[in-house]
Amino acid sequence: MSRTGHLIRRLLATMVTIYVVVTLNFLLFRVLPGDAVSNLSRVPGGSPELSAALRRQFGLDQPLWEQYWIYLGRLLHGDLGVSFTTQEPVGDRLMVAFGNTLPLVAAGLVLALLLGLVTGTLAAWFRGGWVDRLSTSTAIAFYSVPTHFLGLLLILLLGNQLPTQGMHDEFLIDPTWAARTADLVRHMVLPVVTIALIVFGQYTLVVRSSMLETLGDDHVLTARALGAGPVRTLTKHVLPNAMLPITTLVALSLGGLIGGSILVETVFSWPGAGRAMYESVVQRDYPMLQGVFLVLTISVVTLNLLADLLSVRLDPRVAQ
Amino acid sequence: MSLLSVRDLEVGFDAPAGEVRAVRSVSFDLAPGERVALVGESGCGKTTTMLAMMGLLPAGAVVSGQVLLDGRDILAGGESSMRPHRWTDIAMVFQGAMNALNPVRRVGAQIVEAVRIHGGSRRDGRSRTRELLELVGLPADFAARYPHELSGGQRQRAVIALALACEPRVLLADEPTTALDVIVQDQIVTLLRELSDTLGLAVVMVTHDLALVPHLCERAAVMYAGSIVETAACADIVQRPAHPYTRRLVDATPDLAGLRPLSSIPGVPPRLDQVLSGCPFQPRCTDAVESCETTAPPLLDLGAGRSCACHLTEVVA
Repeated sequence: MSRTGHLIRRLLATMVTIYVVVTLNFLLFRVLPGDAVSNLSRVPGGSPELSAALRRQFGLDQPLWEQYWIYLGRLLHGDLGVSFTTQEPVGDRLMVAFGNTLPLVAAGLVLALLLGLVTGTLAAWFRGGWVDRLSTSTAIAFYSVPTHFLGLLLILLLGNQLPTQGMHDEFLIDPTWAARTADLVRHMVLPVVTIALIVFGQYTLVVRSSMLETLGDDHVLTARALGAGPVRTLTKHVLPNAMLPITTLVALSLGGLIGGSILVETVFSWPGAGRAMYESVVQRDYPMLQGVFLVLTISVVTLNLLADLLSVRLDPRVAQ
Repeated sequence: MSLLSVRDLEVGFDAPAGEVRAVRSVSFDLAPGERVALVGESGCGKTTTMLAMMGLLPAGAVVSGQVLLDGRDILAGGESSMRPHRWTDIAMVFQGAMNALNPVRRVGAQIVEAVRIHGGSRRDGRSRTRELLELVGLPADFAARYPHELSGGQRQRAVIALALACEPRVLLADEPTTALDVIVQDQIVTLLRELSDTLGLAVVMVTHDLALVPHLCERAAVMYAGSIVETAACADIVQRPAHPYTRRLVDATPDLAGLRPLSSIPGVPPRLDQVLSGCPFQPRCTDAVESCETTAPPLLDLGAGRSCACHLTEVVA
């Protein structure tokens, strides 16, 4: 009962958050200095008439309040507007961009999580020993390296063996499905490794401290007293309890990762959401930028909600 | 033959300031179905003794001596030879029912796990859980509850049910009534006594509450600064204490009739990381004589199940 109540409260809070985000997203581009239309009409033969025509076309001649209602109405129908630069619907471009980013981020996250869980658990179990020192210092080192620097280093190091830019080899002629997939995977290796290395250190540290805290709990002593061996104690009595802060961190960092993919995607010329955001800024493509922001913030809010629901599953006390 | 004998148990911890000798040459015996209390103030080594008996001390602890179960030393083989004895022969009721249970798992699941670790099936575990919960006076459907959904007393009952999961012969109860109100304390102690009687369970209860001891135990051992200073039947401990420390401890227990004033023991227990010369209680003892400062009194058998470690025993007793 209390769980259902918790769920409903969280869902409502999420919906309110998304509404506020949508509104801020609208206002942000209206209060920013610089005018989309003046930039667009700065073409040979551009005239005040052209500006006025563009203004009318994009509905910018309407009062702000009116624009807001139109914006909300179109949003509800899934219409995110038309890109200034390509004149394509923003929704379609976003689908492609996020579709390209998601596998990259997901693979990087899974790899980072595996690395973080293993090194963090080992560090906690052998606290104070050389395993602990090695994994902690490695984690901190990678955590503090700038993303693009690490990406460039990897290109220098492995660039002659692995593709360093784009998603596909353009010179593959009539590739089979398998060949195409293999090519995609090869292209993914360097950016995924970059993401994983940058992120895992954070996980190592949180896993380690969370495990250490749980290892000192009374119920772990109970488990040992019951006759549970070290593996059982670790997997059944320590890790499940230690997963709570880890889940929250992972969900939060996933949102940050998609947003942060701008660096990785620029270094590796990956046609994803990060690149789309970067290009939209350069080209002042406001509808596109608005769309990217919207998807990013909504994904962060949704992931937060997911983490919250998951933590109720992990720890029944959270719902209280 | 006694079921369980502790022989010359010593526990030391390495600390920056030198080794802390937390338990010093502790020996006692437990017959099948017998109930013994280990009494003393905080930090006197009661809990450490309990944990050492199950091999549960942290890695830094140095343990010597023997814990004989049916005449065989279970400490000798280390962790792996201790593990099969845990819970099937010796089980423990931990202090602070608050955290002894895993907060994110249902009560039933934890009892089932205990059964399964020692070879039972899941179905055995489920039916055993139902039996045990009823045995400790909880509704069987509490198996589906989480520890935080139980009150303090209910949680302590659940911890006792967990301790009985593998039908142990010895139950070590470490402050089983701490943080419970007096009425619930009485219920828990009564429950432990009834379980001990019906199941033939031997109990060692650790407590700092002398008033509780006669309600559960036949015999008591008083610990001070890591050593046992007196053992006797509970009635003797309370009515005719032999050791000066025990006497002061009894005087420090509130008297409901209000016939004598409540007194405290001045001074503090000695630091266990320093070498103690003479009797450890001597600095706080009002009866101390010269020999108390130089030689530590051995635990002398006074006959009739009594023993006492005091140079003045003859005089006092």
